[in-house]
Amino acid sequence: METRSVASTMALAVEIQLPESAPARNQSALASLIARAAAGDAAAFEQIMIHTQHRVMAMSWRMLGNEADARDASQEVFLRVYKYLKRYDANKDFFAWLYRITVNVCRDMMKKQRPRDHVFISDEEALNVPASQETAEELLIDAQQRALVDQAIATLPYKERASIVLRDIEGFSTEAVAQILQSSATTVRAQISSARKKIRNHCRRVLTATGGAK
Amino acid sequence: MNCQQVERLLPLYAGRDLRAKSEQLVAAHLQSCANCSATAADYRETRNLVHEFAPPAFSQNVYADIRQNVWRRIETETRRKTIFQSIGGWFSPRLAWAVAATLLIVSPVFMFYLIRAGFNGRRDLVVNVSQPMPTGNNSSGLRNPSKPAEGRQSQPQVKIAKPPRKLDRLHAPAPANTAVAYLPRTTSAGAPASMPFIRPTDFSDPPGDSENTLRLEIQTKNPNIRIIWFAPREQKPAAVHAKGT
Repeated sequence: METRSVASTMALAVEIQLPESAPARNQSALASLIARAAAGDAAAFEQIMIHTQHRVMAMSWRMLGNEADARDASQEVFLRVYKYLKRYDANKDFFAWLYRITVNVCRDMMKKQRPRDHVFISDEEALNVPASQETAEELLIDAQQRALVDQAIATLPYKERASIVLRDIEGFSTEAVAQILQSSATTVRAQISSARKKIRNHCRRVLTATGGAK
Repeated sequence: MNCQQVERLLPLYAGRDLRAKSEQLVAAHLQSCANCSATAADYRETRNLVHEFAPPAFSQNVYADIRQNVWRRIETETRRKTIFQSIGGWFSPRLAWAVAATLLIVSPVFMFYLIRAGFNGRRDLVVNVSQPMPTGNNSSGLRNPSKPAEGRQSQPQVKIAKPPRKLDRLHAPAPANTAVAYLPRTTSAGAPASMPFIRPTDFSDPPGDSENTLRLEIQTKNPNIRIIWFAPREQKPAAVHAKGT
């Protein structure tokens, strides 16, 4: 890709930001963007970034547990997408390919990181839930549940975490998850089963210890 | 299916990840087992909680920052790549292949040469024990020990596989008959100057009967005196020993 006009095309792309849902609705528009970006169109690549950044950032945050690492991971993901976009097979699902890169980047980052507790959200952050809840009690319960799930997911091993996030949160099929993780469907099922069991046990253990009931 | 088997399948049943047949069996069991049914509901609820596991809402500035950094890194990496490409441009593919092929050929040859050189170094251990007298005119029978004998290459050589004996271990069986050889300028390295030195290359046959006689020349301390010893070839020459001082 040409880098001479990167700054100018970036500015142009920022100016002509399309609504995020537009390419999602129209797969052909996304395919066209990918083809243009692969051919060296910087503005098209900027559009791809704009329309996929939420997914990449969310997935990175779920895998890594904090915003700073998620930012770094997202940058690395888009850098790899830029590098390897020419190798992307247009017949395959772009988002599966994107998630595979994201999962690989997060795995690399987790390997580099020293073992530490993944802090998904603090208690204060957990309390900052959308104002759709009406009573304080409901707010508190919701925050507790969020914190509980956060903690439970944070305790999972990398592969189980990736499987459960892709299957239960991102909504991919077991086969698609297997494809993204470059594994077999049977292995993914085993990982998902183990992850669900661990999350449930964690929730039960915590609720029993605090005397709460579910 | 009993409860134990169903419990193992419940995590997958909650997410509808079981095969149709297994799912039917589990569903049939759940209708009749309240305990398993409660567990299944528990799993379903947990799954719903996980499904709502949403990240915090990141501001647009965060995303803009990410994109900006990506472009910056792309520009940096592209520039770095250009430098590598320019360096790589100096080496055309043909030249690179030629250099690689040459190295591939030269390196084994060089290795072979080194190995050969190593063996040649070991050949220094090979000593001419028996050397016939030259067939040319040499009436005096005395030869300069430093000069190689003519026609030596055509004669058979006896290889001594054993390492040379240490000079300081040499001893004479009969001191009265010992001939002490001394060559001031040709003493072996590391040995004291007063150490007797016998040149084994000076074994040679007397003229006229070179096939049957061995000849040993020993230079004494006095440069004018040289002891020449002849022995029949059939008999092994008596070991000549010298004792160091």
